[in-house]
Amino acid sequence: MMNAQYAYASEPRPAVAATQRKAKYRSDEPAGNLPPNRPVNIMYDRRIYRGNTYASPILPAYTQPDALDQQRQMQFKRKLKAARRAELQRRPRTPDAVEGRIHMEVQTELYLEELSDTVPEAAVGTQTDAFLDRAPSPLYVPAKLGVDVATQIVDGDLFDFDVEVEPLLEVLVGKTLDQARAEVLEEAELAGLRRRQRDFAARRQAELVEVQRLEQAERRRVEEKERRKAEAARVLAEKQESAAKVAAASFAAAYLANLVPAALASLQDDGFFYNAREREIQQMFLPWLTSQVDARVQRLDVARQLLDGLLEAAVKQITPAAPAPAPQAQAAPASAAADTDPAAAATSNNSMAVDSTNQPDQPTLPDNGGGSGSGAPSTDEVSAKATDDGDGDATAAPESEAQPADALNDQQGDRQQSEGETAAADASAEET
Amino acid sequence: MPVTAPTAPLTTATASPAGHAYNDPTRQNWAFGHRAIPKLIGEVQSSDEALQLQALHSLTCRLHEPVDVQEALVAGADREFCSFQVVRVLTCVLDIGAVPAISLSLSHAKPLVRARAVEIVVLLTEHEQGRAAVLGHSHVETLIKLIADPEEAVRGLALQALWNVSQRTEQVQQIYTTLPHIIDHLLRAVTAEKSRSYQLLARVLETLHHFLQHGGAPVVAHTLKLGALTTLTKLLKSHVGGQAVRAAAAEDLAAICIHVTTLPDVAKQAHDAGLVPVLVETMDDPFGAVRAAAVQAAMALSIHVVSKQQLVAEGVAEKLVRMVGEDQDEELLMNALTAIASISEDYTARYAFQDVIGLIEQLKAHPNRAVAKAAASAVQVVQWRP
Repeated sequence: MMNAQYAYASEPRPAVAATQRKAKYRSDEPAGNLPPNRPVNIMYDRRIYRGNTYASPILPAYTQPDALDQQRQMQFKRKLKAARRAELQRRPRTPDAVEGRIHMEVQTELYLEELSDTVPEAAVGTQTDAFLDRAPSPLYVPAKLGVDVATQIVDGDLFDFDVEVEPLLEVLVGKTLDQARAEVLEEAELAGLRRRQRDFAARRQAELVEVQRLEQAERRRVEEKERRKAEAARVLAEKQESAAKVAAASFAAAYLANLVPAALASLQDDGFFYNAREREIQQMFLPWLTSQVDARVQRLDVARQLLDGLLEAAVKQITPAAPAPAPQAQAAPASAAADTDPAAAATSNNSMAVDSTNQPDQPTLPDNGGGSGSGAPSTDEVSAKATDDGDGDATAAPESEAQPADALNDQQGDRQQSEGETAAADASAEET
Repeated sequence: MPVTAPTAPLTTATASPAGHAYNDPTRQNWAFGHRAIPKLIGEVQSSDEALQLQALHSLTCRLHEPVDVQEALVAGADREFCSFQVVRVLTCVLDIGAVPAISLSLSHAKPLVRARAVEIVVLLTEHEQGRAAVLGHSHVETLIKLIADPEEAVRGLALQALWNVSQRTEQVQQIYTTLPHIIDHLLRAVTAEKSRSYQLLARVLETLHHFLQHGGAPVVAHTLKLGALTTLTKLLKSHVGGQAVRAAAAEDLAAICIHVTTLPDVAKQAHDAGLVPVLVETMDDPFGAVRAAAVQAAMALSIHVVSKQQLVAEGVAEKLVRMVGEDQDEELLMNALTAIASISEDYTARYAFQDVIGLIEQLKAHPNRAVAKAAASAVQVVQWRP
């Protein structure tokens, strides 16, 4: 405690804020109206150096902008401004006193109080600890809301292997077990499928064998039936054949009983049994005789015609103006002669034909291939046929003997031709 | 981990140790989503053998899922137009999907690669679309060659794939029309596997059974020309292999004997090979499946009259009577009753079955319709009188 009797060269004055220092310009406001200079807490005065004075000098506090001080300054400025605004807006002051009067401040309170400008002051010295640094101004932190909760991470809080590996392990083990189970189920399913397939195959095999047995039994029955049918058919055929044989035998016996006489009669009728001499006479002698007669008659005819010709020639010589006789007239005597003597007529009609075509000495007619076509075969031919049916020589033998027959046939042909011409001549004569 | 020797069984983990990312089993391929299968199929065709092998491994794991099989078949096609009908056409005609991609792998020099490629074919052929795709891309010929592969796993998988693609008549006929020599290969495999692996022998016989069953008379005639009936009879007689082999051999004989009425060589070769006594002897086999197959073959053969008489002379009636009285297997009962109905057409056998007519009458009320129907037929035939 400092002694009050100490004299100062310069009496300490309380620190005044920078804003409350003496104004640069005089104010029009009366001195009493100026706001009193309020002391400023030196703890927040930037001009006071804080910190160890023995240490290396550091930048004084006031050179470093203190955030709290700045904030307080800003607040103070805002307050001054507000005060000024309020000052201007506050209610009007008491008007000045009327002339001759002055305003006096009088205490009207019940208890009077001595008002004095002199404020009882007491000077007290203080000094901050040189070794104590000023604590930094705490930043303004607004009031907290809510509940504060504290926590602390210790070993094992963030990562626990046993816990963290558990889901991974569950996945791995689960997947493995799942796959193994799937494989086991698959194998069981496959085993079941194969068992069913085996059962089905066995049933199918048994049914197939049963079907084959029935098919083979049916086949054997069918074959047996076919065999019996064939056997019955064979028996029936044999019976029918036997019956046919019996019938044929009986019929043959009945038929053959009259066969020989019937055959002989038929052969007799067909002329197979004939008298050779008679046949020879009929087939050889008589035709020859006839041909000879014809030839002779023809010669006679020719002779007569020659004679007629001679007579005519003679007559002509005798009577030259006599007309030539018509051919019909020549034919008329011929036809008349033919009526009486067909052979002579034939020869007369055939005179020209004989001259032109046939020679009496060499009658020609187409060969009948053996000579037995139209006429009856000769006896030699019949005997040859009876003895040797399959021998070609037998057919050749009669050929030579058939030549006279061919000649006879030729003569017969001539006779027929002449007869035809005779018929034509008769017809023409009738027309004339 | 080094690749195991060819004789050792193959395992997925024996992939070659390459410094590839996919060698890490913890990094699963399904993290790629829809891109997984196309990516794997693309890697199958890679020149890097390790990558190729790993891709094959991954595909064998993925293709158990039918959806993944569908993805594998159409990988490379425009997904917007991949309807079901389009897929069926695309996979059989165009070079898209997994089937053409594994063509080279099927003929790879390494047995492990071949095995994985064939395994993929097996997985694909377990679905109808896969079977159509495999048949369309002519992989059957490659599979036929793999039947004679020195590696047992490859042979087994190739036979499995052939078994898968021969389940239907149309497929068998398509294969036989284009590759008739498959029968020769299968019969040679029967002879070869007798001295190697009974399991594969059973598989060969089962595959042959498919072709005999669905191929019809032409295939059976082809096998008869190659002496298959004699081979199978000897196999059955020698008791080689387990019940699976004997049952498969008997089923093959049944599939051949079913054509006794259409192919005259069947009865002749059966008589020459002495099949009837072997079948009658096999009916005493302790395993029901073998007995059922033997009865099935006898049932088929008894359609022929001469064979029927031979069976009766060998005493098949007693065996059948015992089966009807003691066995409970429905397939065996059905076959036995059908055989009784067929054999009873011979009068001596009819007399032999008169004693068990009551038992057969009871079987007419069996819950299995097929057994009941067979019993009715048998009763009808046994009681028939001329």
